[in-house]
Formats: sequence, C-alpha cells, structure tokens
Amino acid sequence: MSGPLLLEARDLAVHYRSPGLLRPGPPQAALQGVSLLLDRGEALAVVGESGSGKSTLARALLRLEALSAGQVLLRGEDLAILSSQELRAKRRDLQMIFQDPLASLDPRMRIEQILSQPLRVFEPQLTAAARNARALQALQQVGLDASALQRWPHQFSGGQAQRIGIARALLAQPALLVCDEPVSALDLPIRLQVLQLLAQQREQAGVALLFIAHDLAAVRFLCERTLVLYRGKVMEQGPTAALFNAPLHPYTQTLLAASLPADPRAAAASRARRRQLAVGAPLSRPSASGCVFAARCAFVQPQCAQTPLLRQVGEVQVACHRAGEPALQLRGSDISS
Amino acid sequence: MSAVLALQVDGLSVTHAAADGARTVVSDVSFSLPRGRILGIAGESGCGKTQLLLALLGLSPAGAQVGGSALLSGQQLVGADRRVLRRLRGNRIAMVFQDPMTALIPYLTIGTQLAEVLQVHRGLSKSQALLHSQQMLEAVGIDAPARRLRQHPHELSGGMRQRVLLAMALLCEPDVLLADEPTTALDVTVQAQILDLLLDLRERLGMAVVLVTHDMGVLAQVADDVAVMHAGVLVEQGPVQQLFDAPQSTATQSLLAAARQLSPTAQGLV
Repeated sequence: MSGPLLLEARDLAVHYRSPGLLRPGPPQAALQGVSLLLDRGEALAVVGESGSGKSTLARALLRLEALSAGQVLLRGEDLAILSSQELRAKRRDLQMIFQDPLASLDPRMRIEQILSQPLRVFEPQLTAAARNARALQALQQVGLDASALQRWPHQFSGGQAQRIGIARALLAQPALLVCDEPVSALDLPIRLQVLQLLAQQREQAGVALLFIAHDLAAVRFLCERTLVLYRGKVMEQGPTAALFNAPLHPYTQTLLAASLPADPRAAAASRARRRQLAVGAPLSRPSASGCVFAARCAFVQPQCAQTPLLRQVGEVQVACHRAGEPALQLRGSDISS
Repeated sequence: MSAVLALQVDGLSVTHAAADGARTVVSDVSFSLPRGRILGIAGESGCGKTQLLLALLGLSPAGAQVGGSALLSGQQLVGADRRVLRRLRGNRIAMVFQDPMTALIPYLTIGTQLAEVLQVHRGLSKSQALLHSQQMLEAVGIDAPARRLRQHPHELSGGMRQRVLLAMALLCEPDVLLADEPTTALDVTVQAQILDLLLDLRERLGMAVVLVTHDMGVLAQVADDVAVMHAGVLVEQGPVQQLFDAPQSTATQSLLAAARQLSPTAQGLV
C-alpha cells in the first residue's frame, strides 16, 4: 500500500441539542464512537433503519456536520483544521449524490448549466467549449445523449435525473463518492441500472464509494464491506458476504429477515424467522445504559445491561455480548431458501 | 361462483384527454377476485397501476373516460352515481395510499379522522366512533391507542401513520381493500411488519386485497395471485408460484430478472 489511506474516521461522535430558548434539552447522541477505513476504489455500505445515524455519518465525514468528538482524515490530513478555502478545494475529492434525484437538481437550470457548474468551480481555466465537451462526455458515460443538455430537470424521469446527479458528481473527478440512498426512490429495473453504473465507475475511475442504504439487496450487489448502525452506534461491521451469510448481531439478523426474497417458496420461512426475532417494535426506547438494541432483542440477558464493546468474532467486529453463541446462530440460507 | 366474488372487473379502460388527443392509460383490463384472496398487481412506474385503482374508486381525474365494468360484490362501480360511490368508498371498498403523510390531514387529530369514517358510514355518535377506532388501532398493532387518538399525524412515525391509514381503511370491514405501494416509503423492518399484519387481518376479516407494487419480494411474500401490467394492459396473470416459476411475458421476465439480481442473498459483483 502506498501513502496514507483515502479516508479514515476515528471515533466520530455527533450530538444534537433539542431546541429550547431558555432551557435547551440535554444533548442527544446521533453518532457515537464510529470508526471506519476506506481506501481507493473500495465500496463500504452503511446500513440501518431511519434514525440510525446513517446520513449523519455521511454529513460528518464531509464536514457538513460539526463533530463533538473524533477525527476525519482525508489522505492523512485532518479535515477539521482546514480553513474554509482549503476545505472547498478538498471537497473536489468528496462528492455526494442524494436520495431524491429531482430535488438535487436546480429546476431553473438547464442540464448543460448544471453539469458545467463543478467545472467552473474546480477547473476555472477551461474554455466554454472544453466545458461543454466534458459535460457531454459525462452524460454519455451515464447513458444519456447530447439532446439532454438543453433540457430542464423536470423533463427527466427519476432514473434519468439520478444519472444526471451522478454525471455532475463525476465531473469533479472525486476520489470518494458518498451516496445517500441513491436508488431507494427508483423502480427496480432502473435501480439495477443505476447500481451497475456506480459499479462501473468504481471499476473504471477507481472512485471509492460510501453507500448509505436500508436496502440490503443493493448493498450485496455493490459493496464488499458493510457497517451496520443502530441508534448511532456500530452494531456489526465486516465483509458483506460474511455479514449476510452468517449475521452475528441480532440487529443484523432482524434487518436480513425483513429483506423479502423474490421467491414465494421462501415466504413462509421468512415470516417464521421474523416471528422468532420480533420482540420490540422498531421504536422501542433503549434503556438509559447498556446495549442500545436490548429493548428489541429476542436474546436479551442480564449482562445486556452492560454496554457491549465492539469485538472481533471471526471475520467481523460485533457489539453483542452473546454474538457467536449457538443459540443466536442464523445462516443466510435459513431465510432465503 | 358468482356469489363469492368480491370484485369482478371486465374490460375496464381509462382514457385521459390530452392536448394531442386521447391517451389510453388502462386498456381492457379484466380480473376477478374472490373473498379472502390477495391479488398483486406488478409493473414499472407509469404502467397504469395507480390509474386502475383510482378508476375502481371512481376517482379518475376530471375529463377521463372510464369504460367497461367493475362489480363490487355485484354492485356496478363504473358510471355509478356520485352519491352511490360516496356511500361505497371507505365503506365497502377502501384504499391505502403510498404516502401516509399526505393521506392524513395535518391539523386534525388521528381520532377525529378515524371517527369521521364511522360517523358518516355507520351513523355512530362521536364517542362510540372513537371507542371503535381505538379498538381498531389496537388491532393494527399500535401501542397506547387512546393517546394516539389525541395526537396529530406529525407526532407519529411513518410506519405508525401507515398503520393508522390501514386502520382507517378497515374500520367498516370493507369487502375489498386497495393498497397502492403501501410499504414502499417505509424501512424494511417496518415494511415486513405491515405486510405480516396485512396477512393476519386478511385471515381474520376475510377481505379481498388488491396490492399494487413494483417489488417482487413483496408479492412473493403476500400475494396469492399476481397480474403484471405493462403500458396499461394486463400482460399476464396467474397464481404467484406459477408466475414466478414460468413467467410468459417479457415484462414479467424483466421484473423477475432484476429482482433476482438484486437480492440480499444473490451473488453480486463482490
């Protein structure tokens, strides 16, 4: 390995304070003790339900969110100590695509203007003709043609708009593309096309992907490593295949059991597995101390009042006292076949 | 045979008036749905799935031409008088929409919105209606239902709001429940809970369900029969297992191929 890692996050924490004029509420942890590594060309998935802190993590990595603890290093450089000017230059390396493809395109700009924006900022020396040529090239990369340049965002479908968002991000030639639920608003066949496009960009341009999703199928398709978040804490992280084939944490098991296989013969087993795992509702409040998942966990024991630390079990790291016990063992094939 | 059909649709068509002439969005659709069965309608966005449901409710946009026949337990829905339709909607045929936020009125409490259904269709007093609503909230798995009745939609999570809509649709124990992508906006865990709930309720109440979705995983989980729609036409229909095992049309094959490539247990690129 040559040089420092592309991206390293150490022990990130983000706290929000609930608003209140005279007596602001106590700070709430949206993210706690999250560390991750991502190198050139790698794809890391962050999964969890809404409210698990996935988007907060993405925003914290891009310094769009103030950290209350921890460090984000981009090629070994601490992003927190950069001036806003230096940070803007670094942002070229860190591009983002968003969940709602139409909301992320300015409705009053033609596609040509939208695509030339990153070039105006990051490569101001380019002539208008050179910018147009690059914009066209980017459009073709994502499977659209020159006729799109003079059109407006509302003239495109969701899948096409998401391709334009990806083209815009790629024009900056980023080292890391942060994708926040990029396909959850799209139909299945279109979803597959956009995922294939991201995989292709990763292979050809060597761009690293941080892929935020609640859809485990998309994660399996695209990412070789996965990090599972619940209430701002890492529950389990490791190789995607290991995590999906033999999930150790009851929360990872719950997510997988809720992922519906496209096979009617597997439906009854899938439902039975959910019944076995279902205890608390997704909104069950965690106890003040101890494991944050305990209120929903089917395998809870007295020791769960102690906060479990992330520990290595086989190929993965897992924050569960009981992970690895035979009673918790669940293989991917039990759910899907 | 004729006595048990909850819904029988024959040659239903919907044509919208457009600037450049008429556009047919639902074309010659026929299916029959016995009591207690779940029919899944699959298709890509824009294939006419939602327009089909709206036509069944008599809610097609102004200027639309609806032709053919749709019998709800023997009662003709196509071309029925507005007053007749108003008596049937929310009563014998009910709908759950995709977005649970926009389907609830933000400034009315959950209780007021639920009770109204029973006050209008069953002539109950508000207090009787509230009591019945509370029981229905409990039946769809909402905790502290008495407190929820006094809350407003924004105080509930997305999954809870979708349960409220389901409760609202079930208040009058309809013959037919129409559900338009009811779980697409929800987390996977909440989606699975709502679908499991739907299966339980179907068993207990014996209602027929038309479930529109583009998610083949959802269909595999809950549908008894599946119809695939493409460009306004039902290109294929049959029992769920048969359709998954031997899809005949290219529309079905492409939906299934995408679903199988995108599965949590599929061998992806990694």
